[in-house]
Formats: sequence, structure tokens, C-alpha cells
Amino acid sequence: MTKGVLLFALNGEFKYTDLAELTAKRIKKFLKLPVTVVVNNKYKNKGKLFDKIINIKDDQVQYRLLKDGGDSSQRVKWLNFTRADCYELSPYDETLVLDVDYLINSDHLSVCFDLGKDFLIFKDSFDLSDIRKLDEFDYINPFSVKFYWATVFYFKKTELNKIFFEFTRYVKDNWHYYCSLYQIKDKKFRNDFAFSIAIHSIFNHAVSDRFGFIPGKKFYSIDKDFLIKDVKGTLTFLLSNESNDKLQPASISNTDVHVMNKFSMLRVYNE
Amino acid sequence: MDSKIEKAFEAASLMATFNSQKRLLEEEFAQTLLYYYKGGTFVASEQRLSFLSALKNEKVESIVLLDDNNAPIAVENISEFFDNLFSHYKEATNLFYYKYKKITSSKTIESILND
Repeated sequence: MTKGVLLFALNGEFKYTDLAELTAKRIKKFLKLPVTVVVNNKYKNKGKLFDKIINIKDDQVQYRLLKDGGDSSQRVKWLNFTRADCYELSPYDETLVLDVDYLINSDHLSVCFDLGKDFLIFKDSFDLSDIRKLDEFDYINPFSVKFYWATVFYFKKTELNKIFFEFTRYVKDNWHYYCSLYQIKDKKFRNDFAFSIAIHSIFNHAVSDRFGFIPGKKFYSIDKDFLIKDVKGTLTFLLSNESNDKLQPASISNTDVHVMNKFSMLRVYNE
Repeated sequence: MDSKIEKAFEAASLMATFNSQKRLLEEEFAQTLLYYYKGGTFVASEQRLSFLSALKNEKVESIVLLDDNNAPIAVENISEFFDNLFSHYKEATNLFYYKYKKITSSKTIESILND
């Protein structure tokens, strides 16, 4: 059985490949797994960081605001339509799929390969800041199905998982219909929502114990926060507080964190 | 960016930073309490350790336990499982104790944050 990590780095104005390089280095250090990256343009494999590079064409384009804290942002292309193709794209029998802004800072995710499940995803998440309460990460809307992050998940190549990814693609291809059905207001395509709908539709109704959860919680900081330093694995953040405009310092160690402020992540590791 | 960081550190309150850091340590601790055995996930909790200790005292050798996702996991050697879970618990609580002591004795925001 081959095992590895699959990253997506589809460049627009923002160079996701820069983040992918950083993430690949950390995967090698902490998880000791081969890494495949999916790119959308010619890419030179610097220092052979990646074991395989897959070049694809992503013709569907949408735009998003990438924030760098509360005061600065950039409107960039958001090429996120190929996540449902993981099953076909992955060269591995067992694959861990990560967003490139998921900062690996421990070997925690190694356990995914030992739990004997066919599909794993985080059930719960944990905001580094205790000031805000983000209900949007509990359910896709207050009257709808549970929210799952497509940031990190593990899958084996099985028949049920093939159906799962085919259905996720179907949700993507009929996105406006599913937005109406699940009362999603923002019509921008989000993998988190498509995955949440597919998990609800496939795994909640399938007679199978092959679906499970990654142990623990997915820690995250939002795009209005800043990662400011990493000293021997202790990550220090400035966390935003909309009520008083102050930034609250906080630190955490030996824990992976989804750092949504991608600019701050690049600043810390490229300077 | 550097001036933003300086300003944030100047404006932050010691008590707010302590409380925020304590909350993060508690969550970090919860994560380190997780123990994996034969595909099952077990929190090394006091309740679970007490139950295993009682089984051990009753000389029960093997049993099926429900893990934290309610999956049944066959434990063949209870004594060994208990010892491993207990040492996992001790390691996690010692680390938590060390980090907690450090933040309670810190007088500045910088020292609260440095691991």
C-alpha cells in the first residue's frame, strides 16, 4: 500500500506554490511522507521537494479577497474546483490531502494511516481566539447540515470513496441547485460546503463504519490574525478582536494550525 | 509589521493574555491525552484509568472496550494497556503542569508566550 500527501497549489495572483514548498518541507520533517503537488502552470521542482508534480488545467475561475490582517487585502483568482478530483489525481493508495496553509507542526496526522478507516476528516475545530464565536464553522447554515472542513482529510482508494468523490463533483457541477437546496447564501463555490453536503449524503446514509474522524480538533487562526514567529516549534500569533480593534498575542506549540492569513505564513518562513 | 507587533504587545493586558494562554494550554493538553490502540482512539482520562485499574485488580486479562468513537476494541492484555495509558496520562499531565506553572509565574506577556 502506497502512502503520501497530496497538495493543491493552483497559482493566480497569489503564488500558492510558495506555500506548497514550505508545507512540503514540514511534511517531510514531521510526517516523513512523500508529497505530490497539483499545479496549473510550469513549475520547477526546487530541491526535489515534491516526489511528483501533476500539471492540470483549471478553466473555472472565481475570485476572492485574501486578507492580510484586518487592514490589508488582495483580490485574487481562487482556483478551487479540482479538489473533488483527488481520487483520480492521487498516485497513492492512502492519501492525506492538505491545504497548503495548514501549518504542520507535529506528527499528529500520522495516526490517520493507523486507524483502519477508509475516510477521515476533522469533526471539530478550535479557534485560537476565545473572543469570537464563529457559528459558520458548526453548520453550513443554522438550519442545515454539519460543517466539515475540506482543509485536511484522509482517504483510501475504495469503491465507496470513489462514489463519494463522484458525488462531490456532482455537487460542484450543480452548485447553484445545491446552494438553493441547502440554503447557502454566498454562491461562491466552497469545497468545505461541497464536502459537507457529500458527507451528509453519502456517509450518513451508507451502512459502513469505514468513515471516521481525525482524532482531536482542527486548530485555526482566521485571515484577520497574524502568525508572527516560530521559535523551535512554538508559534506566536496576534489574534484579532473586532470589538476593540486590539490584537491579542497568543502562542501554541506541538500543534498543527490552519493559518488562514497566508501572507503572514510566508513572511515568517521566508524572511 | 514590526511596529504593529510592538503596539499589540504594549496594548495587550497581562490578564487577558494569561487567560487566552491558559485556554490554549488546556486544549493542547486535551490533544496530548489522546492514545491510539489497534485503530481505536482513547482519551487517557481518570475515569478510564480507574475502570482499567479495577479490572486489573480483579485479574481480568482481556476485555472489549468502547473507544471515544464508540467503536468496540478488543484489549488482549489489560495490564499492559493500563500501564501504557497511565504512562501516557502522566506524560501529558506533567507537560501541562510544567507549562501551566510557567505561565502562572510569568510577569510579562513575552514570558507567558515563550514556551
